[in-house]
Amino acid sequence: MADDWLARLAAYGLPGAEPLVVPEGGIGPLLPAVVRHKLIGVAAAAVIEGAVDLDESDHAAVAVAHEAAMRESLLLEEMLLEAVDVLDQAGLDHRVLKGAALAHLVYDDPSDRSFGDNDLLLAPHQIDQGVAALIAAGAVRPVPALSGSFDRRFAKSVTLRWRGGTELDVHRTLAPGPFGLLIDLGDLARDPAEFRLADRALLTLSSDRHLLHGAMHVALGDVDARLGNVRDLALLAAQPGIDPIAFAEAAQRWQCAAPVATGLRSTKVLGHRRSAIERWADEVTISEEDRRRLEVYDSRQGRFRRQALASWRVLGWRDRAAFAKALLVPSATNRAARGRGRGDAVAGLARSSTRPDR
Amino acid sequence: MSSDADRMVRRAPVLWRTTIGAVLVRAPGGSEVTKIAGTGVALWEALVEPRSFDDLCAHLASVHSVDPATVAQDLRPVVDDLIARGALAGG
Repeated sequence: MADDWLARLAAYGLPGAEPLVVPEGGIGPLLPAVVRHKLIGVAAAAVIEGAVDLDESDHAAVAVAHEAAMRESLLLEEMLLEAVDVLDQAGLDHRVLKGAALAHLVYDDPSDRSFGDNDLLLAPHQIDQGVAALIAAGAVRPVPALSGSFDRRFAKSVTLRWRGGTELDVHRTLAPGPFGLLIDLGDLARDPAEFRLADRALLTLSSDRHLLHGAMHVALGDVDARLGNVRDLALLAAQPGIDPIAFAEAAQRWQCAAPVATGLRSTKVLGHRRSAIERWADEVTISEEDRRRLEVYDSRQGRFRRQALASWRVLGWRDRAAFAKALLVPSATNRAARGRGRGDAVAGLARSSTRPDR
Repeated sequence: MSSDADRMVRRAPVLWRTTIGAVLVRAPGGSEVTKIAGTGVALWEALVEPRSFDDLCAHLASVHSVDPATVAQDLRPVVDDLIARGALAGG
């Protein structure tokens, strides 16, 4: 029942969506889940627009939770502008990813979309320079690189902590594991869109690239997708500027049609009137090879090890040696940060290869 | 007719969000996020375009069917605070 109500909340305002009603027992007990699913902005919008009539206690609880989320959003945006300034001064091209961009691109009011960190995309050959510039400006990198070249050749992203401890992910690609390595990164950053943050114009992905990213994130990211991310897909898929045929071709070109289709299929839970792109996803045939690749993302246990082995299989022969070496013999600083001994990585991957776990 | 020097407006670099019954504002260089509630919300909405204080009070008095003098009394400290915090320019 709670899941049904959360899905209905995630569908609020979408074409053909069921009307939102107050859940039995009120919203209060569901509020932690609403926040976790990044739906507190949608809940607040429903209250402001009079779509739900809450009792005084629930009304206050939603207001408090939404205010907390929006305070966080403002501080994150301030931090984002600082990080963008650092990259601009270093002459590095970048794109804002995920919530910080989607809140302004896709939502009528950015107050409808909460987010918990910042994500920036850099070109692979500029990742090292970008991370160094941000660290010089005060960011902290909790876990050093696996090897000198790992970030620019293989990493999904580098996680930094900005001055207040908030998370800033500097991306090389959009997904972990094998599918992240297959994405055409030059194609990804092409034809950027722009959005305004205060008096600044920031570059981000085009809407179709955001949709590809969002779908892959739902399919390959958290084992249990957040409904706010699913809502993003429904909103993006309905954008008039996205050509379904060009979108499908891009997904095929990136060899990522399987995770993109899998992610888009998740919007069925919203019960809304689905777009042409969402219906395309329903018809995609997933090959046996892609089905096996998708399985490495399925559960949390042993996920990193399964993805590492699957990643090795999609790399060219020149990259395989460097990739394997980085994972099996990580840098001393990386091992120290993770409390690992020199042989631990080898033992870990050996366990994975002899004992498939789910 | 008010002069440009009298006019106030939201500062462009300010980050802000609407919440239930309030507006949150973060001015560049500010030490905190400022919450504007009550009549301040209408003030923030009205100052999307430059207005003098008198024009602002007359506008809000008209919209909310309130005596302009009462509006002025309520808004003066709010306006002064937002200017001091760097959220508004002018005034």
